[in-house]
Amino acid sequence: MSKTIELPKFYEELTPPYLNKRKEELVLLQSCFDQGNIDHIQKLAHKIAGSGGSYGLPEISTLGKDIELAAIAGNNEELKVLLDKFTQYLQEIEVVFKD
Amino acid sequence: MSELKKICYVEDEVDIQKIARICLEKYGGYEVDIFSSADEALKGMEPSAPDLILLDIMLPGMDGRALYAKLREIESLKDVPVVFLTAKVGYLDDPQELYNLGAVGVLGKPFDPVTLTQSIEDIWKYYVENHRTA
Repeated sequence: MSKTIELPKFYEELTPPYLNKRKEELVLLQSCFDQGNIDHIQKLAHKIAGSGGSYGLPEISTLGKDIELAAIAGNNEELKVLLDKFTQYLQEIEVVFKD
Repeated sequence: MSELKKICYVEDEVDIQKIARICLEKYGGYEVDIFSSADEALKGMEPSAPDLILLDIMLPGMDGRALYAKLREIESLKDVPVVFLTAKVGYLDDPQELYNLGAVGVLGKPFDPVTLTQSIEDIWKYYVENHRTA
């Protein structure tokens, strides 16, 4: 199931590469989680929180912030749920651009 | 009123660097230098001081607060106004604490690329009218 988001043309050259990078990062996030490297997840999530909204994707920033806070709290159960949610979001999102 | 021409931005995240440069150069018409770390910024800014510095807080090595303190010790940069940009504003960073340090503005990340330039112009205008003595 895909979730379509409509963005202004301004984002046409910017958002797709940004999304591709986040998708590539999923492997790293999952591997950090499996290895218990929560500190690195926190750092990555902080960057995600600070950037998603600027690329027209505020939900990515919200998820990044939630992941960052769960990592700071050391709440692995919550972290797992949020990483799954983030993965699902990135798998489902489809972006279209309109004038 | 003094014109804002040159901005230096210290930010380690490349995706934020990218969109900030587009907004500030293309829409703001500013000359923009971007540095990825405090060390890079200290080396790069001193020879040619900007009109305004944008500073991320969470930087590799020396963080934004420590860099701010260093900048205040450098003759050519000590009076350059600083605006903090932080992803933690509202949930981990207290904007008032950053104003107390001496920041002339605090902006949250993610910023809206459409309004970033206007936000910076507003801060600059307020700074020139209220702080600048020269």
